Amino acid sequence: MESVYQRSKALSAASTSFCPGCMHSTAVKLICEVSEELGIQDDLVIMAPIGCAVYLGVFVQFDSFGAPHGRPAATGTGFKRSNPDVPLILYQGDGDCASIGIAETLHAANRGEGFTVIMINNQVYGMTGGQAAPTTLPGQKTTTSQYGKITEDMGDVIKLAEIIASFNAPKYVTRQSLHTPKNILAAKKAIKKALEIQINEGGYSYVELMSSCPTNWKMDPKDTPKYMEEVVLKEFPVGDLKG
Amino acid sequence: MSEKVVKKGNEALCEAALRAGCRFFAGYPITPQTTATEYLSWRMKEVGGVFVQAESELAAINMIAGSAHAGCRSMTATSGPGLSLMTETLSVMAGTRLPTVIVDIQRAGAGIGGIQGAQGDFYMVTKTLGHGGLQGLVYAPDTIQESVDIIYEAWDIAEKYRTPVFIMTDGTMGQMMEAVEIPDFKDAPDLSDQPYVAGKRKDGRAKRLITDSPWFGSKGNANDNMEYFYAEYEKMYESWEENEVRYEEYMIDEAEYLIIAWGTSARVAKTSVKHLRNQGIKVGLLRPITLAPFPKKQIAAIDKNKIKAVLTVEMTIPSQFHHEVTRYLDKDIKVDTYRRGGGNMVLDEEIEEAVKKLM
Ligand SMILES: Cc1ncc(C[n+]2csc(CCOP(=O)(O)OP(=O)(O)O)c2C)c(N)n1
Repeated sequence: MESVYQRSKALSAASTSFCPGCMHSTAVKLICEVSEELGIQDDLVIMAPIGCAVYLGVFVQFDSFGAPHGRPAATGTGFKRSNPDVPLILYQGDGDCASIGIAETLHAANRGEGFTVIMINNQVYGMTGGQAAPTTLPGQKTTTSQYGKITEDMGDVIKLAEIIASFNAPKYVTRQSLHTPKNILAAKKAIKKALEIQINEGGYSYVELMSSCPTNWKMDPKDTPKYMEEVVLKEFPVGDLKG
Repeated sequence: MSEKVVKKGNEALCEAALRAGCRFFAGYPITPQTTATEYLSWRMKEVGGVFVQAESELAAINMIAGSAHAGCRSMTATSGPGLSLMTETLSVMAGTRLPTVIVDIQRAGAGIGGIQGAQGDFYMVTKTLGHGGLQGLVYAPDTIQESVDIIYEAWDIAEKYRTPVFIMTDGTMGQMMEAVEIPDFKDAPDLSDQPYVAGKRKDGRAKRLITDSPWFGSKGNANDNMEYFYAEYEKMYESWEENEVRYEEYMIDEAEYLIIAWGTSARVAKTSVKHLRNQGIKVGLLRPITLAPFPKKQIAAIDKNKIKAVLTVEMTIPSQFHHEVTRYLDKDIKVDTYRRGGGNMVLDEEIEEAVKKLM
């Protein structure tokens, strides 16, 4: 029988520690599949973040290391500059990338460091139980914005992809989403393109993936795609911003 | 071939780092470290290494961690406020067991303080690296030559124990010029087989899962693994006390009085010892070269039947080093301290007066 689909060999046998319905799992799976398609699963190194994906290195078959919360772009800079031939992904949450680590994120992008950032934008701090992030939507309820996020108080939404796309150095900046099969395919293409650029030409690429957090959104997973389509993507439109 | 040159302390130290095989430096300018960053900004490129002017010390310390994960000999240098910013990653490095070199060119005071040399980072660097209670090896040279010799060995030691190594100098030592012998270039070892190095998988080796905390092991759960491994680290720290303690005894023959001091304070105290000896006063100097491990046994072994009194000297107020010395010193030995704060230098004549007061 012809095999049309199989579990990526770059995924470990271990199941992930993500909550049911969380789109982190989808993102990890896509990275694994792309690494296989590019034939780089033995070369690729992935940086695990401080966040829900802290155990990322357990789920995948790549070498992995981490950084303190927010610092992957600095740690990744040191790694990639010392080892330019090794493909490197920085897998980061929106809190990691756009809040505590925004300085490192932006400076690395502006220097055009030769790695790929995959940013999982679930609009909350997932791991610590759903506090507001710089990506939390105006009016959105979180454990630290219990009556809804007031932008005058917590600041408006930070659209990191748009900021990074304003720099000269980045080769490819895109925002994709993981809420429908069509979007997932587009996200996979984006991840592949980012890695191809990294490997073939060198340079910085940033792929933001709109994602869900049913646990902390306190939403049934099956309702999350509709909410994302109707509410979240209005604030965070998908598409290529650069390259 | 080694060469004899006259160089500023910071520059000699950096040149020796390159000779030792360091090929990655990240730093953020801060007085009195700036000349180190400036020197390496051009010199690192000449030797084919990577220099990054980081956006902050937070970034700098994480960059050198990343470089170490690539198997490269990496270092940073900073001072006071910059060191405070680095502490989270110092704890991460101690937990990951990552060999890197950090040079602390001390300046005065807490907060922004002052830019003159001082010794106020003693507790911060020697007691624990950041949060969590893990440690690194800490060296404190008192001459530019010694700082050159120590940094030339620093990565060998860091890699042997898989630990961050600190070199503590200060603004005075960093800025002064001295004739030094700079050693020849040596090659860094291939570290790709080290468990903390990612990438370059050869011969189908298994993936490496590198974490800052030893969650994984044979003990069933993360807490028990961490407990087990930290106890193992403790054994390593204890072994340093046996095997890695370094100190200098200066003019201690028949000494009746002993000065105990480190770094620049010890350097100044050497002048005092010479003066006092010329006056017929039998005084010597004990100078810890390693601050961690601390020469506890050597201090505890100071014989109350021979030494009538001890004077500690340091460039910081409140006292730090003084308390560390008195922890181990025989309680029957009279002890006093002479110190200056605020970035003021200790003075040889004031050290001499302080010794005489003990007589
Ligand atoms: C310096 C520091 N501050 C705070 C934390 C606690 N912390 C761990 S994960 C996290 C938030 C992670 O959120 P995000 O980056 O959005 O990733 P997610 O968990 O949603 O995937 C926080 C605040 C930490 N580990 N370190």
